[in-house]
Amino acid sequence: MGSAPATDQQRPAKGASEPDGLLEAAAGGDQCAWNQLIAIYARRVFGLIHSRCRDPELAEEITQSVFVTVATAVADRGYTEQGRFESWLFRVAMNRLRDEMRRRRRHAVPTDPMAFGQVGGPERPDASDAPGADLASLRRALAQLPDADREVIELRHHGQMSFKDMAHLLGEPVGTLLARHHRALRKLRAALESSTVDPGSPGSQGGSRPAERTA
Amino acid sequence: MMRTHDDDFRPLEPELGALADRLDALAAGERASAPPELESRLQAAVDEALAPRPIPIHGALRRWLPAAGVAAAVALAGGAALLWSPRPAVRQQPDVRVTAADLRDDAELLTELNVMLDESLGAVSLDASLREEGESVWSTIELLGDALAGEEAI
Repeated sequence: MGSAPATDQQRPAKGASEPDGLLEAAAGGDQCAWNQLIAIYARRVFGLIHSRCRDPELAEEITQSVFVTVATAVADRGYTEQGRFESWLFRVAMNRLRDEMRRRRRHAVPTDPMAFGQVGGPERPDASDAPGADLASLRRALAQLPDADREVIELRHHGQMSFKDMAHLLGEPVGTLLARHHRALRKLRAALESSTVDPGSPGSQGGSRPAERTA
Repeated sequence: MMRTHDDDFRPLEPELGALADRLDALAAGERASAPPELESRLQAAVDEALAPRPIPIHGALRRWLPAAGVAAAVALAGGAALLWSPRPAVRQQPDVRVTAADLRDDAELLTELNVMLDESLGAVSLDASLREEGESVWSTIELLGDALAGEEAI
C-alpha cells in the first residue's frame, strides 16, 4: 500500500488527462501515439472490467474490443467529444461490459451462479488475491453493493478517473458524484463490518454466499 | 498514503480514507493481474483494425469476372461460327474453288481465336462447371480448326 504499482507511472500527469495531442497524432495513424494511449489506459480499462467479470480472458477480450472500437472511431474522425477522451473511453468500456453481462445472463448456465462476480457466489482466486484475505474480503464486500454505488467506486479506484471525468461520463455534477462516492464508501464499510461478524466468510470459498443478497 | 488520482479528493473521515486506500490497493492488484502481453496484444489488435482494407470492388469483380469470361467465350465462339459459316459464294458457285491459301487464312484466324479464348478463360478463375462449359466451346472451335486445316475434310 505504500507505493504505487509500476503501471500507475504510466498514467497521464495531473491536468493532462485529455491527451488530445496524442489523439491528433493517433488519428493520423501514428503508431507511437497509439502505443502511448494503450500504455496509459489499457490496464485501467482492464482493471475496471476485471473487477466485474473476474475472468482475465474475458476482461482482455472486452478491453481489446473497446480499444478497437475507439481506434476505429478516432481514425474515422468519429470521436467528436474533444477534451473528453477519457470519459468517452470509459463510457465505451462500461457499455461493452454491460452488454457482455446481459449477454452472459441470457445464456447463463443455471448451475454456475458465479459467472460474473456481481451475479453471485465465491470468487476464483487469481493474481489480484495476492495481498491476502483482507483484499479478498474487500472484493466480496464490493460485490454486495448496489450497481450504482459499485460503479462510482470502480470508476474512481479501478479506472483511476477524476471526479470531473466521472461527471462527464455519468452526466452528473461533480458535487453529486462526490456525495455518491462518500455514500458508497460508507456502504462498503458497513458491508465489511457485517462480513467480519459472519465467521464463515473471510477468504472462504464454501462459506457464506454474500452475493446472493445482491440485487 | 497512496493517492493516484489527478484530483486529490479524499474523504474527511479517516476510516473512510483508509478504506479508499484499500480500494486503491485492490484496484492496483486488478491492473497488475493483467497479462504482461496485454499492451502488445492490444497494439496488434489496433494495428489490425487500422490496417488498410481491401478495395470493396474486389468482391464484385470476383463475382462478375467468371460471367464476363463466359460471355467473352460465347462471343468468340459466335464470331468463329460466323467466320466458318458456309459462304454463299463458294456454295452457290461450284466453279469457284477454295484455295489452300484461303484455308490457311481461316485456320490461322481460328487459331488466333483459340488463343484469345484460351487466354480469356485462363484469366478468369472459373469454377468447375463454367470451365467445363468454356472448354466445350473451345474444343468445338478446335475441331472446326482441324477440319479446316485438312483439305481432304472439305
